[in-house]
Amino acid sequence: MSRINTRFTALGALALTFSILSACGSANTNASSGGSASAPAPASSSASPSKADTVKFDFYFSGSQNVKDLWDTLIPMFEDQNPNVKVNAVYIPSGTDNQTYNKVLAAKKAGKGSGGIDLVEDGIVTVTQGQEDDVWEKLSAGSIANLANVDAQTMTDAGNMAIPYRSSAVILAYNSEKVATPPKTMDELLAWIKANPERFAYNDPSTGGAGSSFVQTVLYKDLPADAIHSSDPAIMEQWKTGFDELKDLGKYVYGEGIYPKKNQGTLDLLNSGEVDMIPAWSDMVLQQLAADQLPASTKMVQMTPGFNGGPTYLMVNKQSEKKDAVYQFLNYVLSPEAQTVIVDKMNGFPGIEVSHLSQEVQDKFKGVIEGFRTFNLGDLGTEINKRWQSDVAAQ
Amino acid sequence: MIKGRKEAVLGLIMVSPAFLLLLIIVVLPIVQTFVVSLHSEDGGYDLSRYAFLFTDRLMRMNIVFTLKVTVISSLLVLLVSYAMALFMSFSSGKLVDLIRKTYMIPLFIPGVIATYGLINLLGNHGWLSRMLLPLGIALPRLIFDEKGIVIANLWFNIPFTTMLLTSALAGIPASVIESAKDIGAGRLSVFLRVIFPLSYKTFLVALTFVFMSVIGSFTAPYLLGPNSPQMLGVSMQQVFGIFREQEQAAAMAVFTFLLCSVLGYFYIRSMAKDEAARM
Amino acid sequence: MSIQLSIRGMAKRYKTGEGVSDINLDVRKGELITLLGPSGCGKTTVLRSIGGFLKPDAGDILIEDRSVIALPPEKRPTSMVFQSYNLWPHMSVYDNLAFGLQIRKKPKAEIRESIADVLRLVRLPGAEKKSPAQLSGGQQQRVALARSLLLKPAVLLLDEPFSALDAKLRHEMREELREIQSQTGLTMVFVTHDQEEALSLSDRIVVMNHGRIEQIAAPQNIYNEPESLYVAQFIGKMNFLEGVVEADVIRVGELAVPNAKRLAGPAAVVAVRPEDVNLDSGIKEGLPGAVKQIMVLGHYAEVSVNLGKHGIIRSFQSKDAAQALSLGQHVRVSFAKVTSFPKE
Repeated sequence: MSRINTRFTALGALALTFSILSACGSANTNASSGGSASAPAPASSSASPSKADTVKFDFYFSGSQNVKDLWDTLIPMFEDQNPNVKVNAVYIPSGTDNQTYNKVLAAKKAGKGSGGIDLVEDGIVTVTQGQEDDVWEKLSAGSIANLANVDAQTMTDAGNMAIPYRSSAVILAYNSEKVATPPKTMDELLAWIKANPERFAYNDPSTGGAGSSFVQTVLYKDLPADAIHSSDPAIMEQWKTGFDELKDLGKYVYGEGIYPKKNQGTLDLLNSGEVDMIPAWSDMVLQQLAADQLPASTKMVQMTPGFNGGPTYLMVNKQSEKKDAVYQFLNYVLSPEAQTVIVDKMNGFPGIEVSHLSQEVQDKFKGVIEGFRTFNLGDLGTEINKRWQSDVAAQ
Repeated sequence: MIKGRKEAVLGLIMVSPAFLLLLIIVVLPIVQTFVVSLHSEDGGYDLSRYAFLFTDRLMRMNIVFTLKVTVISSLLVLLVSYAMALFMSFSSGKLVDLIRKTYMIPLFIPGVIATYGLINLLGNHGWLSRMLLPLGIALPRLIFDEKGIVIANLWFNIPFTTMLLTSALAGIPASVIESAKDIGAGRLSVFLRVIFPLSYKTFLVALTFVFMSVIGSFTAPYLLGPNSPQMLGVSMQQVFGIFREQEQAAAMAVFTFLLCSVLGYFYIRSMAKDEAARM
Repeated sequence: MSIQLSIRGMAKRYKTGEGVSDINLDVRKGELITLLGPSGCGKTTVLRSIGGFLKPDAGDILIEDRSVIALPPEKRPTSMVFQSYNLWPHMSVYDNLAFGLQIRKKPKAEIRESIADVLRLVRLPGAEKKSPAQLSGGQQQRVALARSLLLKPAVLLLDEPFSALDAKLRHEMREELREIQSQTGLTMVFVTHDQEEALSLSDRIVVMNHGRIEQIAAPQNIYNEPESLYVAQFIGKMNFLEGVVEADVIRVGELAVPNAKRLAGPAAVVAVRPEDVNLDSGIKEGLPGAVKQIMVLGHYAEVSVNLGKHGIIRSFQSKDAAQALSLGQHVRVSFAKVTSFPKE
């Protein structure tokens, strides 16, 4: 009996592989080169002893188009090698960010299990929020083998509840035709902004990480170095000088106090030549340079001490009933193969240590990947946005 | 008697799906939102979230700004739409044909795309300023300013409003206007005493539509508006999504709803008056 | 009497090919003239051109010796009563009536007084506060009439004003209009397709056909002396018989009627009103025929007689005379009075 079952499982899996292959067509040209060796034996029926059914789990992610493109590439690659798991990816366009989290939380509070969300991709704020509300599952290398490749410190930072599968950093992007020697420190940058009125712009911090990183870097400029890892509200009193600086900066920035919405807003200004310097995400700059959406004269520089950079995390819903399938997926995401895609496709920094990747990739990020700092302010980030809105925007 | 009762039951059955739908997607969420908005910061129930709307400097600025943009936009939209509708209804010629064929186009362009289009058109280095530059005309700042929001509102609301008003004007028999001309009424008198009163109700409907669509708008003010003050829609999103203060956002939503109800009240009142006159 | 309205060489052609041409008409002051014809004959085109709602292609229109052809409706000294009443539904009767006077900047007291007067004239005293929706069709048309009367137009135009009313009301309104006209002395141009209405109401009738004027004459003359075959056909009941012209007479079978119009012939059409057809059974003269049908219509009867190759002729007889006849009876037919037309 069990033998027949096994045979059926194998047969079903084979049929499924075939159907996915034919359905995905050209989307998975990498599939053959990736090889099934790196993935855990896909059709090993002992791992899924019960039925021939494939497990389908729901994965919610948000962000810009590049994030969607990434998952549109990675998921078919994964499904090719793991016919027993299907990923139902739900893309929430950016701007509507935390509705996914609210759903997860609401389902938990209502006792409705996972609420149809098994895996969530989001930033540190949601990770922290979820830790407080206890909605994320604790993860370990025991269930996800490739977790061993991830920097242990970053895992601990996230309470081992979130996988930093990729990261990027805010850098200073500038027009090298107009700016010969870019500022290297925050003080130099502030001096440059004042010396070149209306040639600098940073985006509204509540609409994008580049602007919020700039704001946070200014606020913590003269504070103790480890303050950026603290979410203790006591520090709020020390923001005053920083906010005064930002208020004063208002008349020197683009439009004498216009802060475009979203990370793309300032990139558009840099592209149209309305400003010469902006804080921006490295991956967005790299990608838009490659697509000719930014002038070739655009260059990047990291400040010392650096702007905020940080990982994007994958969190497993504690209420999920399909954790095994999710782990299988996460393991794949952390494989060198998938990570190489992340590097190529997203221009992102890999989530696993670079040493596990090819020499080529290691060279690409030499010197750039260092220098950024991970601000982990927890709820203080929201407080900063609020105060920025009332003190700086509405001054 | 029995037949009457049967009809009544049938009527109830036929109305109930619409009523249920209304209950589930309109009434319940409003009630729920209202209840959420009553949660105070320290866990109790009070009106502190509403008090905040009027005591916080930023919120007050946002409310005033929202009302200002809404009133200006509504007036301009109705002015332009009414003029266009009149022109299309009572004139003829190539220009009228052209307008009639093209005025609906904005309805078919997705809002976000149109908004980015407006940014490209009206921005500091946009097409318009580039075209006007050789003529020595410098544009005032349109984008990241309330003017940008108003222009976007015109773009988004004029087609539908014009359509509404055009159909209202089409409903006025030509003979009624002829008889006014016949007794010696000039264009202005015909408009003020006959055309406007006869299309007044649709005018009110159009006003309600524009008012509500502007006051609750998000995309255009988010992308085109200033950082501060903000339209309530943008501020609501920030409070809800970024600051994560559901209760405060709920209070703002209820307040916006109340603002809309004011207009709804005028609309319903005029309908009721009409109904009474018909009795 | 002076000429109040004069239409000279007016023509108007529509894209459909229909239209009017060669319209020449003088209307005397205080006259009620009717434009009569079937639908599509162009009578409304003429009326709307007088009112200024249509621009003729050619010709001129003069009112009180002044050309109004270039003036828009609101500048013309005319006023129109429309078929569909056209009251403004959002205004009370008072406001409907006051609108025109307000435009003429009349003082309020005068407006109020003249509205009360005119409502009395149209037999709706005290209806000021009613809304049009509360009035019957006849009442609405009275208000519409009052609205025009108030402005004392040089020419009052009426576009089939009573056609939407029932027969009884239509009769009443005709009488009232006649009375109002005699009281006010207004010059009126009345459009209708109803010949009975035209005959009973008008000082003169303008019969129109295919965009042209067929005849302009007083009702009795139109009836008695139709100038064309069309008018003879259109107005009242008429028998038509084919005849042969023989110099001074037109011969219809054994009967000869005078060739009063000196028609050239060889063929002609002889027209006889049924009341002018005599039936005799005792004499030898006249066309022989057999009684085919007798219809008693109250105080008189319509008797159809089969004339063989001359077809069937209808005759009006008194009730008694008709009862003396029987179906199939042989009679001789003669005519008291005939009109003749050339055969087309």
